[in-house]
This record gives sequence, C-alpha cells and structure tokens, in this order.
Amino acid sequence: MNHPTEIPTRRDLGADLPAVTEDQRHIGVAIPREGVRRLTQGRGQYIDDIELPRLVHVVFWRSPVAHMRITRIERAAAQAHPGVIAVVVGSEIAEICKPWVATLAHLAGIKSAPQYPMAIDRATWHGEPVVAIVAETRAIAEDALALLEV
Amino acid sequence: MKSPAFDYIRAESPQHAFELLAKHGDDARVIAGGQTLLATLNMRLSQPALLVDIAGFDTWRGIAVEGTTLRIGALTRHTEVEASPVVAQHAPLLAQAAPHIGHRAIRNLGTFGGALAYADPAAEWPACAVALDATLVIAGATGERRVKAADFFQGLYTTAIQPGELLKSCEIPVKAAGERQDFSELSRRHGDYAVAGLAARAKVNGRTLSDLRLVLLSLGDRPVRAVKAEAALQGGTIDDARLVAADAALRAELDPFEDLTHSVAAKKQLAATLMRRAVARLIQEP
Amino acid sequence: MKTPSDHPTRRVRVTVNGTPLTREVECRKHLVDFLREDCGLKGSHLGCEHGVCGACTVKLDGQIVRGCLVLAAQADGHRVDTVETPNPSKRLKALQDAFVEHNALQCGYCTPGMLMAALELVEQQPDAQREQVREWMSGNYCRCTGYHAMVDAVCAVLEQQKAGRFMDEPVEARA
Repeated sequence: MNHPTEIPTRRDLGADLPAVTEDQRHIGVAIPREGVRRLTQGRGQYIDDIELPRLVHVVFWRSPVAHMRITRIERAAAQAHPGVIAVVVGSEIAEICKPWVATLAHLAGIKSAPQYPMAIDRATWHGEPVVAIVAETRAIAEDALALLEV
Repeated sequence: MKSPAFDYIRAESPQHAFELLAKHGDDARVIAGGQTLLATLNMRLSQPALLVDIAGFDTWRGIAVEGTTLRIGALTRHTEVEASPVVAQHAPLLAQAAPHIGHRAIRNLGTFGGALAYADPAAEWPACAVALDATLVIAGATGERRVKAADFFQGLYTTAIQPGELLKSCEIPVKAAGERQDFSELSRRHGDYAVAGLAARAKVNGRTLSDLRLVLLSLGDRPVRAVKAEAALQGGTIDDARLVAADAALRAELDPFEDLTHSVAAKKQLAATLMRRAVARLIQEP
Repeated sequence: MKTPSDHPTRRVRVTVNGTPLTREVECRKHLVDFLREDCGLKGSHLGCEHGVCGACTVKLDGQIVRGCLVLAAQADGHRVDTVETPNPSKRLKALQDAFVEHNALQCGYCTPGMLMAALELVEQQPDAQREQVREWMSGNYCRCTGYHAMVDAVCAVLEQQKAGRFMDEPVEARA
C-alpha cells in the first residue's frame, strides 16, 4: 500500500489540499511531547522499576578469560545459601533451550556454530556466562556467587 | 554491584571508635564520608565485617585560624573547604584544588581527612599538604601525635597512620606575605582522576622565586616533590635559560609509572607543562 | 517474598520528601536501594553504582549526594529529598518546566539526577555562567540528549532567578 503507484496524488485527494511542506500543523512547529512531564517528576517506569509477584534476580558467573576448559563446578555452597532459588549450569539450560544458529537469507548454506545460552565444557570468550544463580534479591545472588567454585 | 554484608556502628566518641577498632582489628573499616569506601564495597573489592562511622565527631570538623596556623578538622567536607573564605585567604592552594575533586555530590560528603588518610596517588589534598608543609594530627587510644606531611605519605595508599589510629586534623601554616600559591591539574574529563597535577607555592619577588615548593600528584605512588626542579628555578631571575634547565631537571628526577592512558614520556611531558605554566602564573604581574 | 536475612540490620528513621518513615534494613543497603525498595520511590535510578554517573543523585539534609555512596544506615535521623517530592520548591518546578520546554530529556533516565544537581547549582551558585553550569553538570551522564539542551534549561532558570522569580522562597542554609 506504500508502493509509489498506490499513494494517492494531490489530484486524487482534491486539488485544494495544500502541499505537505506548507502544513502549519506540523512543519516548523514545536510539538509538545505527551507524557514527558512525569519523567521530570521521577514517575517514569523503567525495566528495573517493575515489581512483579515472585520476581527473582539472576547473576552469572562469567568466564574471566578468553578461553577456558570447564572441568568442575562446585555449587553446593551457593545452592545452600538462604534466599537462593537455583544454581543452573549450561548443560541444564541446553536441555530446555535450543542453541542459536545464525544463517544468512541471501547465502543459503552459511550458518554459524551452535551458540548455547551458557557455556558447556568450555568458554570461548571473556565474559561468557557459565553458571546462573537465581535468588530472591540481587544482593543474595551476588553473595552466593562468591561461594561458587568453577 | 551490591556490597557484601557488614555490620554498622556509629561511634559515640573517638574513644569509642578506638575501642571498636582495637577489638575488631582488620575486620573493621572506618567510614567518614564514605565516597571511596562505599564505591570499593559496591564493587566487592573489600569484605569488612564492620563499619565504624566516625562522621558524628563534631569537634573534628571545622576550619579555624589560630595565630599563624590554619587548622582543618579531618571530618570537614570538601565542599566546606572549597567555600571557606578563611581557606581562600590563608591557603588559597586548597581553594584552587577543591573543584578538581570529583564532582559536587562527591564533595558534599567526602572529607578532607578521609582523602589524606586514603592517600590515593592521584588525590589533590596530599600534594597540597606536602606543598604547604602541613602537619597531620593523628589520634589514638593513648593520645595524639603530629607528623609532618613530608613524612606522612609513605607509599601507595600508605600513610603514617597505624592500625587503630585516626587522622584528627591538619595544621597548615598560613600564607606568608609575598607568597603565592598555584594549583593545577590535567585530566581527560572534568572530575576524572588526574593524569598529572601540581601544587606549587613560592615567595615571589618580581621574577625571582624563593622558598619554592613543587609537589606533583599522579607522578608516583605518593606526592612527589621535585627538589631538583625547585633548585633550578630559584637563585635568580626566571628567564628562558632557567626554565630550560628546570625542565631538564624535572624530567630527570621524575620516575612515574605509565598508566592505562599515558606513557612515562607523556607523564613527564605533562608534568613539565604544568610546571612551566605554574611558574608563569606565579611571577605574573598581579 | 523474602527469606529473612541473617545479615546485620538496622532500624532507620528517615524523613523522605517530608514524610518520616521507619524501616528495618540490612546495614549494607545503600540509600538508593532504600528509596526504591523500602520507600516505593522509583524515581532515583542506578547506572553505575560506584558514584560516577549521577543517576542516583538525591538530596541529603538539603545537599546533593550520590545515593549509591551513602548507606541507608548513615541517613538514619536525617532528611532525604528526591524529585518525587509532593511539594517541589519553586526552583525545582521551574527546572522541570525548563527541561520540558527546552527538550532537555528523551528517555528521562538521567533526568531525576540532573534535576537534583541543577537544583543545587541554582540554589548555591546563582552567578554561574554557562561554562560553570557545564562543569557542574558534568557529574551526571546522559546517553540521549547530548547535554546542550539541559545546559540551556539550567541557564534559563538562572536568568529567571536573577530577574527575581524566586525571591519569595529563600534558599535554606547549608547544614
């Protein structure tokens, strides 16, 4: 419907309609922005402001190096920390979440290696998430992070 | 990030603070303004079990002149030093340095003594204290002692304050007749840590300097007094030859670390530039 | 829905935007989390949590501070004011109007902190020129606007103040 042949011309709409560049309602006019005043009163709602029932927080143990083999994850102490709901590793997530495979629409056959949400057996970039700790508050999740051994 | 957990006690008196520090040793940290400590804790770089809040010691806060000594209490906020007419008159170096400390919100809470006690190599007050021949008053459970600024700063984040002691105040000789003071600092953005800074003061007689102090910040692990450059600049009229000699002396005596953004050569270049500009301002016709 | 904490807590009494509140909080909790989680005031924001971005700027006893670098425990017995105050001062209201008029906000995330910082400037540095406004506000980061419109807005309010607009509302003395 936006194809050039489908857009109505001035003649179609009636010759006495002014050119859009002369439309006084918008061009050269300061349009007040709806809803901006409440942002100056701290009454905006941003993602971090949202509180939902049973909302929990997650932090990640991330690879501190560009490349590492993950040989062992000791998570009992983190799991036992009060307020921790779950400590999840890459292989567990892989059971319920298929990996990304990037493809190119214009080059059939090109695809990336499968990219899992969290590292399994080895991490291949500095910062790749390896373990997820879910807890009632961010502070508790970070406390539990200190108890994790990877 | 969120800080690790700790307990918090407001010390009711210095004596109470000393008792708490003696009892808890390394597990306790003192909090005054907290502008460095809380940032450190929020990044989980430290795990104290207890914070001892000393901000309530009203007798350790304030600015006053007694005779020829300007006394600044350790718990005086940076903003108070910045705004004080007494400081502007008797130690203008401090008034010039204050706006370089972080930003206004930091200065409203951060304390004069806290910055001196923490002794960050990029901090302004330590270099000023050395340039002004200040005396630091350290309080402990058994009494007070005084340490000259030149002896107070002993290394990276290391001062003469022993475990269990607290910095109580700073005593600064008031500016003498004929003396000028000049503070300058270079940073990549306003409020960033200094890449190089210079606290300078001298007796000025026309184009001749005497009693010169040139103390650099961010050029070492503690304030660096450029004694050879000072010597080169004194003893006669400031002319091009003297400036060239001082520049060479400064570059030879400085031994800075390189940092993330500046090489050793760059640091020396900036120090030399600060020195040249400061000298020009010191001998400028008023 | 919280497991009771094993960590040290403290009962704090803070007057927030004119209302005395009493809450039990972990000693480690900083002032912004206290406002957001314990007082239901989401207007103060977190950007860096180490004191450089200014999104958390609030007033403590009438002076701007980094809310992330103050503990709720330190605020016990003290006064905190945010942009959500139900009784904004004339200067604050003028700044809010100026920010709207000069298009000095887009997403609005930095705006509460900017307004608090600007408010202290207008109150304490009435002779500030544009360069000083820029330096003063440089402690607050914005990712959207490019800052110039904010400086315009603050300068406009400084002009209004010079013209006598807030004469009937004296600035409170600093603590």
